[in-house]
Amino acid sequence: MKKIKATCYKTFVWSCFLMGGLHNTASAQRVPSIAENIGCCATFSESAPKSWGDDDNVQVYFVSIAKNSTRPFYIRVFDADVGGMHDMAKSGFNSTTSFTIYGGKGAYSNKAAKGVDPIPGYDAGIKIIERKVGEDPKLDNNWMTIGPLNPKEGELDNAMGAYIFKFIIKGEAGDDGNLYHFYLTSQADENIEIPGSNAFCYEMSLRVPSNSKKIMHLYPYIDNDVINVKVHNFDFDNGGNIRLTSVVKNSHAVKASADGNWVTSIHDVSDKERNTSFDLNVLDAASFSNDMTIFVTNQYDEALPFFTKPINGVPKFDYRTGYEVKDEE
Amino acid sequence: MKSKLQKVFRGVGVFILMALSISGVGQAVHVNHLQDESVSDFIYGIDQGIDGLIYVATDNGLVSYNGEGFKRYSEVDGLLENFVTDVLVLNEHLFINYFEAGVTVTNPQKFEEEIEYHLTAERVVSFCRYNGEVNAITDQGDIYRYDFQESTFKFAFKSKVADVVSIHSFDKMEIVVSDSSVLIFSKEGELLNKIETTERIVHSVLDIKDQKLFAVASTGNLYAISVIGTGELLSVYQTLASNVMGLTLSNDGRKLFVPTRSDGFYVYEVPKSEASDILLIEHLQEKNGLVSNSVKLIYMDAHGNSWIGGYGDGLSVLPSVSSRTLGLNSRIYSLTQHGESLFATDGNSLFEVIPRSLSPKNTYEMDAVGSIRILRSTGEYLVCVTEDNRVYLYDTESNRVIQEIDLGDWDPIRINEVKVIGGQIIMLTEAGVGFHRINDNRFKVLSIVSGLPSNRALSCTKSHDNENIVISLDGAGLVEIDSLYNVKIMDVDVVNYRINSLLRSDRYNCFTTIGEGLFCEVDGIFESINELDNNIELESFLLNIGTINDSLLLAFSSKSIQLIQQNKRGKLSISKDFTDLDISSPDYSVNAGKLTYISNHSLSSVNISNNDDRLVEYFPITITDIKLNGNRVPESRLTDIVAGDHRIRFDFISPQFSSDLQHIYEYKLDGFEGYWNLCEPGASHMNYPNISSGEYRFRVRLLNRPESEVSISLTVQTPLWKRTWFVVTVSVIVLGLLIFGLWIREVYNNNLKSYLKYQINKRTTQLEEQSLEISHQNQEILDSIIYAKRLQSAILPKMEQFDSLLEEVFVLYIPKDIVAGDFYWLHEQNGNVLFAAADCTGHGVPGAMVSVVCHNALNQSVNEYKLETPSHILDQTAMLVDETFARSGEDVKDGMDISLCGFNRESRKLSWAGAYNPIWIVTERLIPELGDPTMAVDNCQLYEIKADKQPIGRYPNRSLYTNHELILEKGDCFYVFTDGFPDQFGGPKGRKFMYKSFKQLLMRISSKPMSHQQVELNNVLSDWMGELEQVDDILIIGNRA
Repeated sequence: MKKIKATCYKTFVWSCFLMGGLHNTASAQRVPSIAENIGCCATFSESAPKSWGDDDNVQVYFVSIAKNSTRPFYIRVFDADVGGMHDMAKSGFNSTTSFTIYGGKGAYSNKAAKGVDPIPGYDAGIKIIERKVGEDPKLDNNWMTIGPLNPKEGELDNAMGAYIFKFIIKGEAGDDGNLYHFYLTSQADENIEIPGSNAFCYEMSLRVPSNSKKIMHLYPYIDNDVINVKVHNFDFDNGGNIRLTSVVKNSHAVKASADGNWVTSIHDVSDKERNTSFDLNVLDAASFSNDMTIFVTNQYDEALPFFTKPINGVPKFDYRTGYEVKDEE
Repeated sequence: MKSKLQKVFRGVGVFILMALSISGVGQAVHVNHLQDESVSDFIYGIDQGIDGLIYVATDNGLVSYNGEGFKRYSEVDGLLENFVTDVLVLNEHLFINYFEAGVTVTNPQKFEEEIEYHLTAERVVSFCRYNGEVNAITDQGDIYRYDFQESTFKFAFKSKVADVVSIHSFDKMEIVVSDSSVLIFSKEGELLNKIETTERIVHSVLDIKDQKLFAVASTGNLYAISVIGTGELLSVYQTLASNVMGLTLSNDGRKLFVPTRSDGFYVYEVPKSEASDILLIEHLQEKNGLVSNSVKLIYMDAHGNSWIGGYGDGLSVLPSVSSRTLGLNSRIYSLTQHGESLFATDGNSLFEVIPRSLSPKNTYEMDAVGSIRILRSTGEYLVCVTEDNRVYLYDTESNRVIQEIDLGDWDPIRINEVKVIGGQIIMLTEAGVGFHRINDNRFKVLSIVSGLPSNRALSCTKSHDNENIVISLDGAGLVEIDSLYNVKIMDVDVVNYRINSLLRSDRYNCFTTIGEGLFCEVDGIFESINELDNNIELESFLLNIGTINDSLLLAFSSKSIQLIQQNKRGKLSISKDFTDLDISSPDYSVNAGKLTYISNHSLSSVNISNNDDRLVEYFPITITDIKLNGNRVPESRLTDIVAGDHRIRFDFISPQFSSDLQHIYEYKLDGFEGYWNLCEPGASHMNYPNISSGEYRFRVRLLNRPESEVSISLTVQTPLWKRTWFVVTVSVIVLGLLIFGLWIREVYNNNLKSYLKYQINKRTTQLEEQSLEISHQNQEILDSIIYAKRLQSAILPKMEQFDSLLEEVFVLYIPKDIVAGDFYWLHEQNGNVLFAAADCTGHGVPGAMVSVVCHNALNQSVNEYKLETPSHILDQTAMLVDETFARSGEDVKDGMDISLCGFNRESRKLSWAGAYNPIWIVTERLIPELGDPTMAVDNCQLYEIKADKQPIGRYPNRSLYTNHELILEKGDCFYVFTDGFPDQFGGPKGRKFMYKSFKQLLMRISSKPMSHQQVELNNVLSDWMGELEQVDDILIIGNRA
C-alpha cells in the first residue's frame, strides 16, 4: 500500500511540474543589483529636507563597459519621473530630476568624481547625454531608455580594463524624492545583460522599505592599501542594524545613525581582507519607510567604491580567527 | 588629374546608381548599407574632398571611400588616436579631430607620408570653414584660426564659454553655440550678443544664404536665430524629433535633417517665415528602410546623396532624389519605342528597357538636359522635351546630346505633345504648333497669326490620303497643314470637342475627346461611340487612341485599355477589356504581343497576343519552397507542422531584371508579427525559428508594390503533450490514481485510524495539559530569573565607576544566561582601587546565588574588617563564605575562583592575589622580578602570576593566600578574567579557543586603546563562536597602568 501511495504522489508531482512549464528569464545588469537586494535608489530634490535621508541631492554611479565591447549599450531607468507611483511627494509633486551621462577624460579619473560630495569637478568629463524629467505619466512605473551609447566614449581605465561612464542623477528644483533603479542593457527596449559590465558608486542614498525585514547589502571593495575603514551612515533612524561581514569578520556591529544624524564607526582591515569586498548588511527592522545615505572611507578619508557585482564575489566568512589553536594548553 | 577626378566621381556615381532605390515622402526607401570591415559601427563625421573622396570619422580610425572601396587609416598609419570625432576637408588640407588628442592637419593626397600636428594639447569640440578659413574651438572656449601660410593654428581669443557645442564663422562675427546659449562675438573677441536657450542644445548649422543660425535642442525644438547685425532669436519651432543627435542643412539650403538616437531622422523644410510652423517632409526609420534608428549625423555630398552616419550600425547612403527615382518602381513620365528597345524617362534620367522582359538594359544620366517630360523617337535619335520647353535630340549610341532644337524667339509656353511625322518633329503647344525638319534643321511656327483658329494644339496625325498633317486644336476643331505649312480648316463639325488624340488610318478615322469619349467617322460623319455593339460602354475620358495593324483600335483611359474591333456587321465591339488598371500617361508601346504602358509607379504590360486576358504582372513573386529544418514541406503538409524546436524557412523569387539591380522584398507573417519587415537587398528567403502553434499566413511583396503581394497559409499544430485534451486526460488519470490510492488507503486503515485517533486525542489532551502547566511554570521561573537579573545587576558596579577610578579600563561581561555566575567587583579605599573578576561555581541561577554570597563576603571584608591587601581580603572572604554555607548544616562546597587586584593610580603599585584564576601582565619591557615571560613576541611580553590553588569556599587544609606586589610602568596592561573566553567552543572544528590563543590575542591588541580592545575581543569571540552556543559566562577586565 505504501508503494502505491508513493508512486501516486511522485506521478502527481511530476505532472504538476510538466504542466507548469519552465520559465527562462534573462538576467540583466540591474542597478542596484539583485545581490545587493536594494529596491531602489533615492534622490531628493534641492528643497527637500536633508533629514529625509539624502544628504546632497546627487547620486553618482559609474558604469564600466568591457574594453573590447564594440556594440552600443543603453541605460534603462525604471520610474525615472518624479510623480505617480513609487516616488515620495512632500506637498504635491513639483520636482525635476536630471539624468546625465559623462564620458571622456576626467569622467572617472578626476579626483572629485570619486568623492562623496558634489564638489567642483565631480561632473568632469564630456557631457554625452542629458535627460530632465519631472512628473511624467508616460515614464511613471515605466522605463526610460537613455542611449544608445558608444562604449568608446567612456574614459578608458586600463586597471579595470574597461571604459567608464559617469551617470549623475541629480535632484533639481523641487522638494520631492525620486525613487528609481536602472539597468545596463544591450537593447533599447529590453533588459539584456552586457557581458563584462558593472556599476559602482562611492556614496549611496537608498530606500529602506517599511516592515520588509530584508537585509540589504553593499559591497565596498577593499584594495591593497586599506588599513582600516570608516563606515559613515546618515539618517538610518535607528531602523534596524548595520553589520559588517568579510572573509574574517562575522557580522561585526556597525554604528547605526538616528534621524538626521551622521555616525561613523571604524573597523580594522586584516591582510586577508585586502583585495576583497566587504559585505555591509543593512538589516531593516523598522515599521516605517526610510531613506538613508551611506558611504565608506579608508584611513585617508578616501571613499571606497560599492560595486553592484562585488569584486572577487560576495564575501563569505570562513571561520578562521587568525590564531593558531592547539589541542592542549 | 582631371581624368582621375572624373574617374573617382564616376566611381561614386556608379556606386550610387548601383544603389538603386525607391522613395517617396513618407514611403519606404532603400538605403544602401556600406558594410565593410574598415568601417566602424559608430560614425562621427563625414566630409567630401575636392577629389570626390568621402572621408568618414569613426571611433576606430579615419576611413576614405572612393566609390569602389574603403581605406582605413589608424594609429599605425600615423593618427594620434583611433577615435576620430570629426573630419573636414578644405582644398588640400585634411583636418582630423580626435576624441581626446586634439587636431591634426594633413594633405589628403600625401596622407601616408606627411602629417602635420596642431593643437595636440587641446580637446577641440568643433571646427568650421567659411570663406577659406578654418576655425576651431576647444572645450575651454578658446578659439583658434588656421593660418594656411604658416600651416599652424593660431590662437584668436578666449570666448570663456563652457559646454561648447559648435562654432560658426560668418562675415565679421564668430558664433559660439553652447549647450545653453548662442553667443555672437566680433572677430576680435568682443561679445556682441548672448541669446539664452531654455533647453540643452546639441547641434547647430549656419544657413549662410538666409543669414540664419539653426540650433537644435535634444528635445527636438529648433531655434532660428538671425545673424544679421548682432543677432536675434527669430523663432523656436517644435519638431517631432526627440533625443536629437545632430542637425544638417541640405546643399540647396531648403531642407534640415534632424538625426536622432532612437527614431531615425527627420527631414524638415527650412522655415522661411518666422511665424510659420515647420513643415515635415520625410521621416525615415527602420520600418521604412533605414538601417538603424540610431543616427548620429547626415552628410549631403556634392551629388545630393545623403550619407547616414549611424550610431551603432555603421555607414549607409540614401541616394539623391534623382538617383532614387532611377528605378522602374518610380514615376515615369514618358515612354517610346526606339530601335529594338523601349526608352522611358522618370524626368531626370533615361533608361532603356528590353521590351519582352521589361528588364532594364542601360541607364543614361541626363544632367545636361534637365527634367524630361516627353520622350519620342525619330528613329535615329531620341527627342527629349524638358519641363522648361527645351527640345533636345539625344544619341543613345554616343550617350550625348546631339542638338538642342533652336526655337528662335518662339515661346511655346507649354509643349503639350510631340509627334515625329514625315521627318518632322511637330510640337503641339499652348502657343501654336512648331515644325522642325530634321534633315535641314528648318523650323516653322504656326499660330493664330498664321491662320490657326486656336493656339492650343493638342494632337496631330498624318492624313491617311496625303502627306498633310491633321492637327486638333482645343475647342477649335481640326486643321490640315500641307507641306508648305498652309493652314486649312477642315470641314468637320467637331468644333465643340476638345480632341486630345487623333487616329487616321486606312481603316479608322477616329479621335478621342476630353469628356466626350470616342468619335469615329462613319459614312463621312463623326459619330460618338459611347456604347459598343456588345453593350459595353466606353470611358468618356480617354487619354489616347491607337491601332494595332490597323485591325484593332486601342482606347486608353486612366483605368482601362480596351481593344476594339469592327465586327462582321461593321459595328465596333470590344475584343478585350483590361480594366482596373492604373494608367498615368497616354504613351504606350506594342511589341512582341505585349502592350506596355505607364502605370503610376512603373512600367506594366498586358498580353494582347492571345485570348488570355490576364494582366501580365510585372515582377510576379512565387513562393518556391517552405522548409522545416532544411527539409522541404509539401504543400499538403502545411497544416501539419508541429510546434517545437524548429526553423521554418520561406523561399521566394521574382524575375531578376538586371544583375545590377536587386529586388527589395517586404514580408510579414500574419499571426506572428503585425508589421512588414524589409529583406536585406538580394535576400530572397526568410527564417522563422520556433513558431508556436497557431494559424499563420506568410505574405511577401516587393517594396512599394503592394499589388505584387503573394501569400501562403500554414498551420502550426500544438505538440501532443501540450494539447489541452492531452493535459486534461493525463491530469484526470493522475488525479484518478491519486484518489484511488487514497480511497484504498482509507478503506484499509479505517479501523486503525479510528483507534489511533482516539489514542492520539487522549494523549494530546494530556500533553496539552502538561504543556500548559510547564509553560506556566516556565513563565514563573523566567519572571523570577528576570527579577533576579535586576537584583544581580544592582550589585554589579557601573562602568562609570570603573572609568572614574581607573584611567583606562574595560570590562567585557557576557553572561551565558539571564543571570550569571561570573561577576565583577569594585571598591576604592584610600586611593587604592580594588577590583576583581570572579567565577562562582555553576552558572545561571545557582551561580548567581553563590555570586551574591561571595559578593557580600568581599564587601564585608573591606567594609567591616577594613582589609586592603588582596590576599587578606581573600582570606577573610573565604572564611566568611565558608561560615555562611556552614550555617545551612548541609555539605555545601560552592564558592568561587577569583582574581583580585589592588591598584594605586598614583604609584602604579599593583597588589594582587588569586584563587585559581591568574593575572596576566602584558608589557613591552622586561620585568625581572617576575622571571621569564610566559609568552613573548617581538618586544611584547606576557607575564602570568599564578594563583593559589585553593578556591574561595569550603577547602580542607586551607593556607593563607599569597599576596603579590609589583610596581608597573605607564602603558603596562594587566588582565583578570574568568575561564569563559578560553573555554568557548568554536572555529572550524568546534574546539575550545584555549589560553594560548587568548594570550596571543591579548598580546596582539594590548597596544590599542582599551575600548578598542574590548571591541576586538568581542569581534573575535563573535567570529570564533559562529553559530555555536556560548558555553559559560565570559568576563574579562583589562586595565592600563
